[in-house]
Amino acid sequence: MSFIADLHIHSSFSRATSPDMTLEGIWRWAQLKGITVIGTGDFTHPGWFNEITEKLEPAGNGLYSLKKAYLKQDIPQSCKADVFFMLTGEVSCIYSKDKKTRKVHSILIVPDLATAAKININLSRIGNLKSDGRPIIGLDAKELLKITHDASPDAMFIPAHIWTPHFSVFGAASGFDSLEECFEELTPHIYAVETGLSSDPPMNWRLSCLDNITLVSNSDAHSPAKIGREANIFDGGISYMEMMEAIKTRKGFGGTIEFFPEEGKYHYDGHRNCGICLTPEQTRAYNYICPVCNRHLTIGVMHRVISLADRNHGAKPAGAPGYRSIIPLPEIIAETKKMGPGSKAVLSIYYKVISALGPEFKVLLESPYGDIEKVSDQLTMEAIVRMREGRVYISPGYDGEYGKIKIFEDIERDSIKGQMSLF
Amino acid sequence: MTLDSILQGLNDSQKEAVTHIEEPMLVVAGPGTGKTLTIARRITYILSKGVLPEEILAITFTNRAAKEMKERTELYCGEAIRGIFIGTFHAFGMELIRRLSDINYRLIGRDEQIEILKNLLGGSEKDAQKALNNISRTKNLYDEKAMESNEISKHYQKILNQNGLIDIDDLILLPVELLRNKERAKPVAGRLKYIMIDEYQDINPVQYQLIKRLSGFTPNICAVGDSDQAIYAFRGADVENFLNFEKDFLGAKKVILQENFRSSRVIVGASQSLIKNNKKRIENHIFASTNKDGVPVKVIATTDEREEAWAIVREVEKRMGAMSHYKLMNIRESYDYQEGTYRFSDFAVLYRTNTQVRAIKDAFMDAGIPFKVIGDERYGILKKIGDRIKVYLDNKKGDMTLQEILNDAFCLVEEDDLKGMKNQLVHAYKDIPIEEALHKIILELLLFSSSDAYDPRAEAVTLMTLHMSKGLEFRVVFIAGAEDGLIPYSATWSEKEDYDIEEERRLFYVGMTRAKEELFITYCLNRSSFNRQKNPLPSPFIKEIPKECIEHINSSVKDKNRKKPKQQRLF
Repeated sequence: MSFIADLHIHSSFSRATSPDMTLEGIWRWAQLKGITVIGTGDFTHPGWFNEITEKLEPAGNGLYSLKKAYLKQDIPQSCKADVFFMLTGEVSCIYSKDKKTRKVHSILIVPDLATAAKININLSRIGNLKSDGRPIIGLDAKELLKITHDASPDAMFIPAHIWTPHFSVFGAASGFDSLEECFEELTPHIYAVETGLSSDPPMNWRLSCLDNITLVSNSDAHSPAKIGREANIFDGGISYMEMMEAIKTRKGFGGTIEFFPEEGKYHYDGHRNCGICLTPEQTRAYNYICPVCNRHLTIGVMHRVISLADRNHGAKPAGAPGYRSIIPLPEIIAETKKMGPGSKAVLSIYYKVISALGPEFKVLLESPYGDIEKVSDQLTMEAIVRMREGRVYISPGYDGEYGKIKIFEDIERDSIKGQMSLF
Repeated sequence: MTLDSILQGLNDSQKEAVTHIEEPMLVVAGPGTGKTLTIARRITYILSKGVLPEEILAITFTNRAAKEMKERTELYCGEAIRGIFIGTFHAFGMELIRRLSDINYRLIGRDEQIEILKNLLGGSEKDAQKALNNISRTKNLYDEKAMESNEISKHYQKILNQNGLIDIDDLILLPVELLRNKERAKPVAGRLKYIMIDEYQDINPVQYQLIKRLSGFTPNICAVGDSDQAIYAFRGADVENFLNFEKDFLGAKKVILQENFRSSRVIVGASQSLIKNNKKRIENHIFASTNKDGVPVKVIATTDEREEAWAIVREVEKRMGAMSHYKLMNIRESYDYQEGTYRFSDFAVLYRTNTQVRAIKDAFMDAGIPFKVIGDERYGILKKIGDRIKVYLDNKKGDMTLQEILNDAFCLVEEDDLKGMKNQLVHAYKDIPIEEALHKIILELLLFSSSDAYDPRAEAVTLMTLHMSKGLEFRVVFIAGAEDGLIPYSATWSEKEDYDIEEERRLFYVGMTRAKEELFITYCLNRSSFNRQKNPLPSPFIKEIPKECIEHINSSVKDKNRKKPKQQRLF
C-alpha cells in the first residue's frame, strides 16, 4: 500500500506559528491534503507533550491516533481518511566546534512517549525546553544524536533542511562540509537527511557522499495549510517500525514529493533588503560582496550544493528513489485568478475542488485532467498539466524571500480564458 | 620534567615564585596573571627536587578550584598527583581529624544541627537558625571567649561531643585543637613539608589559626592571593591576614605577578584605575600582556530592569548571529560582528544581588537563549522530592501506581515546569516495574539537584552574582545593575555608611577583570525592585574608570516602543 507522510511540522507552541496548529487542526488538514502519517512536531515542549498525552492514544502500530472525543466532522466526505501521528520534534543546536559557531537543526523521531520523555528529561538538564517548541540548546549536534540513540535504538535522528544557510549541517553560514565533520564516529547512525524546500533530489544526487543516505522531504509547516508542501511516499505497512526500516534501507520508500526548489527561500544567493538576487556564478563574479551594501551576500542552497558537489548536474545514483514536483493547489488557483493564495475566493475554489475530487495530493498528482476541468476551469486544469510536466517558470527565492511562481504569461492567461469564452 | 621545561614560557616573577620553595613566601597574584599555572609548575618543581608527593599540601577555597588545580598540575607531574593532597580547608580538616583523632566522628548537616538546636531551645525553627548562625560565626572567628560564654553554644557543643558528632565548622576548629599537642600531631602534620594556600586574602580567623599551627612544623608556607580580590568579609574573612603576612611569617619573601594574560589593555587599564582608590591593599601595577587596546568598556543606561535585560540579550544576539529564521526575517540590524566564533558560554552576566536575576532570566527565556544560573536553588527541591520517593520505596506500598506516588511526592512544587517534569517522569518510566522505576527517578532527580545540575556538555550564558564569578573568565562580561545602592550595596537607603566601600570596590573589580575582550556595564534609570530607590544614580564606581576607556550608550529611548517579543506571530 502506498501512502504519504510528512514528518516535520511545528505546533502552536513554536515561535511564529499559527494558533491553528493544534492536534485537531493538524488532523483535519492532513486529511484535506491526503497525508496518512503526520509528525506531531515539538514533542520536546512540555505544553505540547501534555496535549499529546491528553488527546492522542497509541494506535498499536507505534503511531498515535486522535482520541474519538476530539474528532471533528467538518471534513469533506471525499477526504475522510485515517490519520496517524508519529512522535517528532526538532531541536536547534547552537554551539562552537573547531572555533566556529555552528547552528544545526535536527529532527528527532521516536517510537513511543517513554522515549520522548527520556529525551526531554535529558535535554531539560541542558537547556530550556519551554520557551520554544523548537528549543535552542547549547549542545553539540553529535551529543544530541547520542542522547537520542541512547533513549531508544529505534529512535531516528535526521539532520533537518540540510542546505539552509544559517541553520543546518551543510549550511554555508554555520554548518560543516561533511556529515563526518559534524557527527564523527556516530555518522553511521545518520540514515536520512531532509533536503529542505530549496533543494530537490537531483541537486543532492551531485554529492556521492549522500548515495547511501535516504533523501526525505517534509513541510516544516508553521501553519496548517502548509502541511505537506513537501512529503514522503511510503510503499508498505503503516507502522513505526516498517516506516523506519524503509527510511533505513530505502526498500518500501517510494521517494518524495517536492517543492520546485526555485520556490524555496534560499535557492539562489543575494540580499533581501538590497533586492539583489544572484546565481552562484554571479556571486563569484562579485567576489561574494553585495554590490548594493558592500556586505557579505547570503549564500543560497544552489551555491552551497555546487561547492560541495563531486558530480555534474544530471547525475543520478543507481537505485535512487524518484520524486514528483508540485506547486500547492492554493498557489495554483491563486496564479490562475491573479489573487493571493490565502484569499477567500481562492480557498472557496480549493474546497470545491477537493470536495469533489478528493484530497489535494490526489488532485495534484492523480486526478484525470477532465475531472479537474469539470470542477474548476480550463485555466486551472492547464496549470496542473504544466505543473505535472514541469513546464513552469519560477523566479528563484533568495535570502529568505520565497521564489515567485509563474505558470502563465499574462497574454497566455487571457488567450486561454478567451478560448473558454468561445465555447 | 627537566628544570627547563618546568620553567618554559614563564615570566621572571612567575619563575621566582616557582623556584623559591624554602621559607615562607607571599605570592601576590592579580587577576589573569597565571596563578594556577604558577602553582601547578611550583608543585612540579618541588617534586623535581626529590620531595615525596605526600609531603606537599595545597589548600583551595572551593572544590572547583581544587579540581582545576589537580587537573592543571597533573599535566606536568603526571601520576604523582595522586599522592599530593590538593583540596579545600574542609577536606583537609576532615583528613586531619581522621588521622589524628581516636574518635570516629560523624559529620552532621544543617538539618540535623537545626534539629538539635530546636530541641535545646524548645523554640521555633527561626530561633534555631539564628542560634546556629551565631554558633557558626563564633567558631569561624575563633572567638574562644564567645564560645565559652554562650550557654546555648556550650550545650550544643556538649551534645555533639557526647554523641561523637561534628558540624561543618568543626572540620577546621577541631584540627586546630588537635594540632595543639605537637608531639602527638607530629607523625601526621610533620610530614607536610611544603604548604600552599590559595586565595589567602579570603581566609577567616580559624583558618588562619590552622595555618599558624601547621607553620609550627614547617617554615615552607606559600600564601597565594590578591588583596584586591578579597570579597568574603561577610563570611568573617579578614584581608588583614594577607596584608600582614610578611610580619606574621618572618623572613617571608614577596613575589608580585603583574602581567595579565587575560584581558585587553582597555579592560586592564579601566580596572586598575578603579582599584587604586582602595587603601587596604598591596600595591600591584598590573599590565596587559597583549599590546592590543581592544574595544572600550561600554556603559549602557536603560530605562528599567526589563530594558536592561533586553539590552544585554541583544548584545549576545549580535555576537551569536540570528538564532532562528523568524529573527532573521524580523531584525533589520546587521550582524557584521566577529560572527562565527562565539558560543553561549563565552558570555556572563554578573550582578550584586540575587534579586536582580529575575528580569535577566525572563529576557533570556523569552529570547530562547540557553542560560544557567549559578547557585540556582530552584532544583534543590527536586532532591527533597527524591527523598520522599525513597520513603515509598522503603515502605513498599504496593498498592499505589507510579502516577499516584509522583503526584504525592510532587505536591511540594508549584512551578509549572517542575510539574511538567513529573509528567515526563511518569511517561518515561511507567512501563517498567515500579520499584525499578522509582530507583531510576530518584537518580534522575539527583542529577538535577547536584551542584553541577547543568550538563557539562551544555553551552549556556552564565548568570551569577559577582561573588560567584571569582576565578572565572569570559570573552564578554556584563555587569548589570551598576547603580548606587546596589553596588556599592547598602541594605537601606537611609544608612549609606553600612557598607565597606573598599570591599564593594573589590567586588566590582573582580567583576570587571573577568572579561577577556569586552566589558559592558549597565544601569537602570528606574528600578522597581522592593526596597530599592526608584530612581537610582549610576554607581560611583563608573566615574572611577577613565573617560577615554568608556563608550556611553543610551539604550533607554529607542527601546520604548519595543514590542513584547514573546508571542510574535507571522500569521
